[in-house]
Amino acid sequence: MDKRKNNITSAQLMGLIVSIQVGVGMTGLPSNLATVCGHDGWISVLIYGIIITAVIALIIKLMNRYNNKSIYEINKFLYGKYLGGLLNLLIVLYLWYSVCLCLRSYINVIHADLLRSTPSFVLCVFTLIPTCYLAWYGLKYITRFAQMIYLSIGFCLILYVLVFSELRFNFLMPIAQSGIEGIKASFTPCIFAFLGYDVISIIYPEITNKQKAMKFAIGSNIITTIFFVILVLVTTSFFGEEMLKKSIYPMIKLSRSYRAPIIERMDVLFISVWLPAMAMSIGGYFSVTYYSIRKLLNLKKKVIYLIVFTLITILLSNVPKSISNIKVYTNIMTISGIIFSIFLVICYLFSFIRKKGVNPHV
Amino acid sequence: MYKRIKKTFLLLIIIPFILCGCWDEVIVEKISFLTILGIERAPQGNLEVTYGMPLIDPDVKGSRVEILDTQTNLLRMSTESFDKRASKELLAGKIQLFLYSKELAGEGRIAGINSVLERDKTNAMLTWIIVVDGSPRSLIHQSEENFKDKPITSTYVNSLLERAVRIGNINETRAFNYDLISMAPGIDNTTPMIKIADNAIEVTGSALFSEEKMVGSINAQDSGLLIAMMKTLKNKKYIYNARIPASAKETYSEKLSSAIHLSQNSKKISISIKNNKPVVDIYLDLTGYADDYKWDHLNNQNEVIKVSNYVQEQLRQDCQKLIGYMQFKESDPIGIGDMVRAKHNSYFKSVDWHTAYKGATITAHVKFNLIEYGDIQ
Repeated sequence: MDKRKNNITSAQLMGLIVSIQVGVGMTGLPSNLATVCGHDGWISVLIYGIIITAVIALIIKLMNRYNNKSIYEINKFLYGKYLGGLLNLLIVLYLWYSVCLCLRSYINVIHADLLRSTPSFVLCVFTLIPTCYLAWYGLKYITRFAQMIYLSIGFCLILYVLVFSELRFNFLMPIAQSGIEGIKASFTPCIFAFLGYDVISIIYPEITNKQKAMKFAIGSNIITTIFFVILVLVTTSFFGEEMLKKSIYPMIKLSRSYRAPIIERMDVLFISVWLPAMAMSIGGYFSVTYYSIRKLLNLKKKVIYLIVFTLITILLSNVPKSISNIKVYTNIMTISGIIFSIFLVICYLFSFIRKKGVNPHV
Repeated sequence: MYKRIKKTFLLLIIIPFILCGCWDEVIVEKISFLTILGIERAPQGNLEVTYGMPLIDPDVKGSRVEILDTQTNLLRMSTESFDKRASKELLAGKIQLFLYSKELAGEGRIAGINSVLERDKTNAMLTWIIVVDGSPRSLIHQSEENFKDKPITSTYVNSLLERAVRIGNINETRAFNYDLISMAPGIDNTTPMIKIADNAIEVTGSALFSEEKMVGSINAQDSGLLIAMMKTLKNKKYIYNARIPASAKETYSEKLSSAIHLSQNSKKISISIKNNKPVVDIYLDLTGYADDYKWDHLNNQNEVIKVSNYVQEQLRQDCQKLIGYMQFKESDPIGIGDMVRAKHNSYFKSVDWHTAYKGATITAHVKFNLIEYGDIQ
């Protein structure tokens, strides 16, 4: 493996995390939150955003305790060769599962909004071609492309400004009506939206300026949190919680509802700007998974394994057949993500007991 | 090796751009854009649907629009039925107008029918939702057959509505607006109302709704006052037809009335609950420009104050009358219920809002100043 092709900076790591989190996370977040906690979704996002920031800080602290080691090596130090190997396998499976599910969700958006008759299989193939191309070259190129997310976020913010006069802030009142119950109920949708930060534990050794990793990793989560809070505030005050509960992709509906002069149908423009951002969620998970497989199995024949990996991903992504079906699989991904995050925190604590391999460098 | 792989990837990236739309291709020459749709009641709870599609075929002479009618149980099924009769394949992505009959609106069926616009992303959610005083079917047919001096119906009505919004005669009600308001608690919809009048189509005012059902209507002038209470008349060219102080000798209409261009400075709504009843005060601060006024007096400050006070009282009375009518009809387009829900949530939950609204004390307070009167002293 050419080391330099996987080397990334902390700033690039930030772009990658934001793109993984925002790309797929934002599509259903407002409506999922409206279903469980009414018009108070933004409060939940803010609270969980802060909690996730603390988790990210702990993950970075864990990585800092082991010089240039990823969670795969750390597992072997902490749990031994066999148990560590098994845990590594589970992590790779979780990542692969995330790739397949993100790909399926992405295809579903295209199906629902753009190309109704095009077979999912064909869309999967065409979606993964650029992802494969980038993954072939390494993490550096994926993370460079991931910076596109800022453009998409910028476009969304412009759309928010454009619809500002249509917002009804009364729809957000009374504040905190759903109470603690609402915050508890919004755990699953919020965590699903924030997932993606956990890739830090895998690609950390590839970061060149590790002393800034903490700052940028936390920065990425702050960007995502602010963006999600604004997203939920705007969509809730635009649609109201009752309408929001009926929508699957409120952000796309918002773009359909704005009457743009000349362009006329804003949704087409929005989708064309948002698709690369959503694809980056897949790209991020895809490249990290492929990177993990190569690293763990120490693969030499890069082309063959990339093609095999891609084909299996396409086949697996076609397993969920409907939106309700995807929701069931999404819950599994969320639970897996939560377990993985808790596991990383446990690893950090356990590293103080079992000190093999500990070599703080930052 | 790397160069070959690079070329292969490049080719694979280009292919989708070449093949895009193979499955979902739309050839413009082979389709008809549905631009206007009329829906009214049919026997057995069905729908009478009328489609209007502009003809862009140079071979068809003498007709500008292809019109099709059918009776159906679902709007989507009418497309299936029309596809068997229309000259070209139908596409609804450019639909501009949904015309509903008054009877259908009175049954509260609009939001249910609109669901097709929300569900299918190829439909335009910016479609106007309009109530027709009379039959939408007859309006579309008459307009195409008799109004040869006008543009095609969809363009004509669309232009009428956009102008009516600019002059504050109607509230802009697109499909997405209508649907979200119909679901929001404590606020009711309004839609533009149109009818055939002489040799034209006329925007008559607004239809008022209560819990999704059309319950009444107001004229264009009252719609403007309603907009002042709902949103703002700022940047609108709303003209208020005011009565002015006149002497006993002045009996002709031009001496008794004035056209005043109203502009809104501010709006404030204060709500409190007293004796388990909502008490609402609506404060409107308006200024005016006398566009049409008899030849004299307005250079005199006292006369301006006198006219301002006279018009102010009329505006207050008209607003109060309008509020009374809306309360009587249990229609709350101002969204007072929504404000009560936001500020007095426990009270809102404890009552049936429309009943409470009917018994609420709502008072309009209008401040009006005539500030301009043109180039005549």
